[in-house]
Amino acid sequence: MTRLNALLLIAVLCSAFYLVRTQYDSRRLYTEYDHARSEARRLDLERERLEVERRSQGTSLRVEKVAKEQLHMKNVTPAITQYVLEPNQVLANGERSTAEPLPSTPVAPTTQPRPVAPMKTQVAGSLALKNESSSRIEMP
Amino acid sequence: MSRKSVQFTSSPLLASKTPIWRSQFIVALIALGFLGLIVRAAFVQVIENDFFKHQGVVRFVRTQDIPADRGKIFDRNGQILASSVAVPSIFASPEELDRDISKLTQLAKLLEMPLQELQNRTKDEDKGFVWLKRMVDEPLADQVKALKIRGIGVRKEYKRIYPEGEAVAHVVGYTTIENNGQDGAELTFNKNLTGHMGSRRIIKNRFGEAVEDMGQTVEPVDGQDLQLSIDSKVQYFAYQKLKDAVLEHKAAAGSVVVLDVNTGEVLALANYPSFTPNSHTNLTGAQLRNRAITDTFEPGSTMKPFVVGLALEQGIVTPDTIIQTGGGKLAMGGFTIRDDSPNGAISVRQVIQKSSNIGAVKISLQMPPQQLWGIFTQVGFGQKPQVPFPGLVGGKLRSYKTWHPIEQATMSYGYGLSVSLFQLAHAYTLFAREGEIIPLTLLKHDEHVSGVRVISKEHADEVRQMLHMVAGPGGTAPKAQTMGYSVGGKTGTAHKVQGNGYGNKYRGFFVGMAPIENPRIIVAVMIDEPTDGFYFGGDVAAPVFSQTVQQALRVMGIQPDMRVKPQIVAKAEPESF
Repeated sequence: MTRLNALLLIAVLCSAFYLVRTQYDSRRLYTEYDHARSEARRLDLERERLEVERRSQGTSLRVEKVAKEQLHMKNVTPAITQYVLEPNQVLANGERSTAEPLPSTPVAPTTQPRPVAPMKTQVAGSLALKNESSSRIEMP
Repeated sequence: MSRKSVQFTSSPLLASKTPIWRSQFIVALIALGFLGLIVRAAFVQVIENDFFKHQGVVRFVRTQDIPADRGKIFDRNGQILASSVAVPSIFASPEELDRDISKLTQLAKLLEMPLQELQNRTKDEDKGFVWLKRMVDEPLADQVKALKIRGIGVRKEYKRIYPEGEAVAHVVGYTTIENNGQDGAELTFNKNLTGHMGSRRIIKNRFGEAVEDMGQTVEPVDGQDLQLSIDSKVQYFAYQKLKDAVLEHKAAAGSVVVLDVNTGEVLALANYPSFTPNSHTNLTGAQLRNRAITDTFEPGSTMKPFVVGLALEQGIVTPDTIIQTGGGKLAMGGFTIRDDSPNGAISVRQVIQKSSNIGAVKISLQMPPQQLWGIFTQVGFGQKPQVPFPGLVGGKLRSYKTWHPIEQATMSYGYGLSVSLFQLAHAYTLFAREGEIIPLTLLKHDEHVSGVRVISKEHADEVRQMLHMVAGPGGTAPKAQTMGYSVGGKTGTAHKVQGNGYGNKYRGFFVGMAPIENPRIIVAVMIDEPTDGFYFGGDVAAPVFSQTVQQALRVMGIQPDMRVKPQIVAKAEPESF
């Protein structure tokens, strides 16, 4: 009987210590988790800030300014653009375009309606410089 | 008993009998002590348990807010137009503030604030919290932190950043420092953009670290992102060209609206003067006003195509019917209606091309007022546009029952009613969409939208050909032409009302579409009070139209429909091996 009691006492003590230890671990881990979470939040905010920063460095206003002042570029006009139809592109009137590229300039009488389809524009010649934010700027 | 018989190992005192009550008294005392403990334990654990539990909670458990992000605003291509970023703000806690004067002087210097003001703000020692300076730069916050003054802290706040700046300011709007929408899309969609703050209950240890979650967490709900129909490139060009024109013609203001004809989306909506939404302090009403939608004006000659469209629809005229406009003057009910130059006998086409007031009056007077009122109403004049946006106005269009013949006459060339530029652009979808009026939207939807038929395709096409002539030789707006694309539109020049009559201040406008055979965009331009000698819509507004069309169609990837003389200076040689 005494032996059983002693055994139970030891068991209770073990369980109690284990509980304390678990509680301690759980709190320690929760603190770590909380730190990690606020770090994630901080990084998230930082990413957002950098995205906005990147966007403000790439606005049309800035791109045009840099292109004109530092790179001495000028605006593209249809006169210096070669329009290329994508192969098998479905035109507005439902026809498929031939893969043949158009002549260097689009030719169509004004009075005749022509299918207007979204075109892949290509800036003529090897001097072309395509900018991701602005494809309308070309070296003079 | 001899003296010797007393040994040190025995004490006579012990031999004497102690009274029984003494031990009983001790036992009773101890019992009482235990009883006291038991009562106290019962008091703490059972009777006043809630109170003590609460006291424990107050000391360790904190309710923490979990911030929610305000939704971002994007343009149609996913470029950021507005986003919230966390920036530091500096606060003080007067009740625990360290009032060392040398430290405070340093702080005041950093905050660029007189020491006196700093002391005034933190005077009330009962206060737990006052802002000192909100939304400062990161380095400044670090410097303040480095001072390590007790009672001075840095907290993160959300600031709205608008990378595109003044070009889209009127469309996107701005928010207060508390992140509430104040204008534009920020105000209209404030509910959707605003998130809901979450909260959690946690136990904090003495280092201020969270150690346990109490399990009453409410997750924050972030605001929804918003995608507008605006194309930031088109918007930028439109704004720049408008700004250049306003400055060139020394005008008071200007507006431009660009619509997508297929989808009814607003691609650009810009006004000058504008403002920088990132720092919206010291703003004047002139800067803040979204003129394109809030200002109404008499639309002048831009009304004529509707009169002609209706007359064609009613079978009253054909495009080749000859109208006698005489010597450029027509007396009517005590008024004289004038043309800018005598046109003689001209066809209905030329009435539009030359913008003859007399021609328009003669055509309109052949129709009952009700029909004229009907078409004006159907294209949206006199009603607030059905677009969710703050500040929209409907303009003035009186009921046809009160019209006098002279009013019907002046309305046919755009006096006696008022519209906004936005309404005007919307109304021109009638010609661009072959007789249909389509609903407009400021949100991206990218699908072909169907409209309400007002006049037949045949007659709308005829008017569109007339609009094409306006931009051609002999028209009022050859400056609207643009390289590579065929255009059409209508000029308008209206005297501004000053006092009781019309003064010598003007508004010039141009509303048009391109490419003319299969219109993809409508561009409406208004220049208010040009003062450099030019004031005709064809001189001040048409060039803005031309440049905007050129860039917008290019950005949209639309192939030119007109022959262009190539100017390609260098051709790429095939690479040789």
